[in-house]
Amino acid sequence: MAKLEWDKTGERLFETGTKNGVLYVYDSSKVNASTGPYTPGVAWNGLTGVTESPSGAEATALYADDIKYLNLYSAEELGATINAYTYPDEFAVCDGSAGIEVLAPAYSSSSTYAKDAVVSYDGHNYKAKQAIETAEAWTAAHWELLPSTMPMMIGQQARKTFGLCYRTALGNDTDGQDHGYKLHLLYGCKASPSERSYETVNDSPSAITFSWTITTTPVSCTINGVTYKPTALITIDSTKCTQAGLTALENALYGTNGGSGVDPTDPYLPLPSAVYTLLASTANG
Amino acid sequence: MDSRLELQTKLEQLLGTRNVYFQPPENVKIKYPAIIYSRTRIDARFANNNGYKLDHAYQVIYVHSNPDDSFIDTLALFPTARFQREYTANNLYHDVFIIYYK
Repeated sequence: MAKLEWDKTGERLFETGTKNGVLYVYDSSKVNASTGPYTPGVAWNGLTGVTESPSGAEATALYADDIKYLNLYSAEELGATINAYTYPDEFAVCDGSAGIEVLAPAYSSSSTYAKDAVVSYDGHNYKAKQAIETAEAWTAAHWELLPSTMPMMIGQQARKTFGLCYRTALGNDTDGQDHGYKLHLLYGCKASPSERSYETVNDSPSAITFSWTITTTPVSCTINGVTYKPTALITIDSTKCTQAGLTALENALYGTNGGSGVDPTDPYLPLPSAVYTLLASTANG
Repeated sequence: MDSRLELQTKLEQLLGTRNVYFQPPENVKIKYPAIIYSRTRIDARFANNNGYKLDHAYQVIYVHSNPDDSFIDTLALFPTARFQREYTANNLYHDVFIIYYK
């Protein structure tokens, strides 16, 4: 082994920034074998910072035979703080709100409808693709599902668990901030109630910065046949992955547009073992 | 509409005349009372490693000859307006405000 050297050119690394936040809401009723228990991800705009705050692992000293005999360590926990100027609508259910859809008049099988007429059916709003000039039973092909808008939110509801992914930059002395990046995947997050301070517009314009304190519940983690302690955080270093593996993982996390006969895919949060599979199988294949 | 042009329109409506000038060149003949304004600062806020929101600050100078002109109060009540100072030059009163607009 050669003599140690410090701060060699290209090895003066640093980390900075945060961007590309993606929210994945946990929904046990929509567990999918391939994409896991989280609903398709949505972009988190206006993300200004994420602070990871590990805690626990506190030592309790035991004494015997007039000496310090051993230290017992408490379990380690992971908390976090998210700061942002705004949040995706989908986060409302994670922040103690329930969205209420405002429904159009119910569909009637004894009525006729003009093109673009809006009705509700089975709890969703639909728009007529074509004029329905003869009354008929509900025919899904004639109607287009309108996206849920949830204009009404009710507070103080149960908080849903969510996952989060975000990216930080990895820089060095030669490439600057473009050296690489780290992907941070957080699982089993739950947001605590947080203050929102609204103030009058005044002579010092400012935008509210929302802040949420997060606690996490670790998920089981068996990778490559090895069972690790449950974890709530996975970090992937782009400079240490193969490009193919990284692309496969990012396609999962951010989704794809598809094209030329290939269907687009929804973004999803793979569980730890699936993250390894994405990184490894593509690399070996 | 461009936010600067919107501000121009609002200042013209407040003043009730078109004597509102944005960074006028020296050869422009100014009619008084007038508002002369210029962009002094752009405050940027950042998110996602990018600029996210910009606040444009304008220095707005109301130039007039009446020491008791009540339009100063009107301007002071403009949302985000902050009175800075008053001075006299060329026998005209100059009341300086900072206004943030979009």
